[in-house]
Amino acid sequence: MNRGTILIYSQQRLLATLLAATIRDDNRHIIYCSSLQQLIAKSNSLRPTLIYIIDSAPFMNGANLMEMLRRSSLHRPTIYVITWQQSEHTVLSLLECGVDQYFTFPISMLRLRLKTLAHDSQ
Amino acid sequence: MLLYIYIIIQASAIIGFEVAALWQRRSRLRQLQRATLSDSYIRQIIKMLFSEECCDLYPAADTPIRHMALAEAMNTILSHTYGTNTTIIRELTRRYRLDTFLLNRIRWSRGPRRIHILILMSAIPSHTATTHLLQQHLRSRHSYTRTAALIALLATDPSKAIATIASLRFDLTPLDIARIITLLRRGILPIAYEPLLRSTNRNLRMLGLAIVRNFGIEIADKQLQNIISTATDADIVHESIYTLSSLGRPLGRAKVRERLSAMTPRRRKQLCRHLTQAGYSLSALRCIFSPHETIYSESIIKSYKRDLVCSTSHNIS
Repeated sequence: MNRGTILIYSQQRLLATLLAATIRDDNRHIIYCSSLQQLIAKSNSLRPTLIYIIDSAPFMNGANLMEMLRRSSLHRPTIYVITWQQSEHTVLSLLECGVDQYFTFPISMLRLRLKTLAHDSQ
Repeated sequence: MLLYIYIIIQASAIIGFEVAALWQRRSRLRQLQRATLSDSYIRQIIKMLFSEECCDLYPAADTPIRHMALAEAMNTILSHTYGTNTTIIRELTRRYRLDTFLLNRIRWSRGPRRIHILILMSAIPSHTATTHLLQQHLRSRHSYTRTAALIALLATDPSKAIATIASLRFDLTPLDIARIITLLRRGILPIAYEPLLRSTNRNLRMLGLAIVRNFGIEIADKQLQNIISTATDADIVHESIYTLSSLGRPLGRAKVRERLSAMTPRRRKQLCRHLTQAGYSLSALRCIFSPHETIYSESIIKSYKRDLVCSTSHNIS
């Protein structure tokens, strides 16, 4: 059973590997993007089911990232953000932007894997 | 003769540039090789963690590059996760003698490289007696080395955390405290906040306040009020007021207002801005600040930056 594609955006390769290894599944295609341009292009061409963004900086540069990631009206990928920031302002602002879930580091690998599995079964 | 000298100088310059370029290419290749190895080790370790079975790594960590790659992989995993089963990590550390390797590296390295290795050391469960060496670095003249050594020491021996922090001869900076809080969040440093708030040691008190602030411990309200009214250190009072405001508590009490009036105009302005952004209402701010100071708050509230928060959270009266 193909569970679709997951995109991971991080500027730190080791972090992306950590996340990819945690949510790894034989029936899932995980792609790592090191730049925002690459992430937007892959999001619009591959139509992923889930996008992990391990950074909050892309949301703060004035560009409407969410709109670019969800350009097609027929396809709406779920977007999860993971960062170290835990201030209420950041969380509220990101949720208002359209982010579906916000996690802070340190994460529990088991819970993250279960969360991804639960997303697949939705 | 001049021509010969010219040719020799030209040739030596070319050779010099070539050697530099070769050295740079070699170090870039080594970095790439280390990153690729770390990637592979992360995948293998996570697989072991999920299967709860320790196996040999491939390629085996038997060279300095592979040792460093394994240390970086372990650091990435342990510093970004919590609740990880450390039995497998301990077994891998023992099998590949990673702690001995890192200790030797700490001895022979200098500057930023030593700091980096100390940070790696803080993530790795140690088998050998490292306390003595780490305590030596705690007395270093460089603040980053001291911080890295402190974090490594706390991670190595969490049971002596309070004694270690109390014996420090330097004041902890906000960055140091943030790093200690990260250890707490990872669940490897079991510290209760109450004895810290009661302590007379500045570093312990600052850490206690940071714990209350980071974990939103609302029941610490009374202790914070006590600190504000009795503490003599201006930094402690300042930090206590910020901690109290982060809990969303009223700041209009006589003791708090007395302390606020003793603050410098610059600090008052900073606090006013912070309280506005934290959601305190204008009427609450007018009780503790003068009318010309609250004009600044009004302009922040009217700005688009504030609107985002105002629409979703209730103002604290």
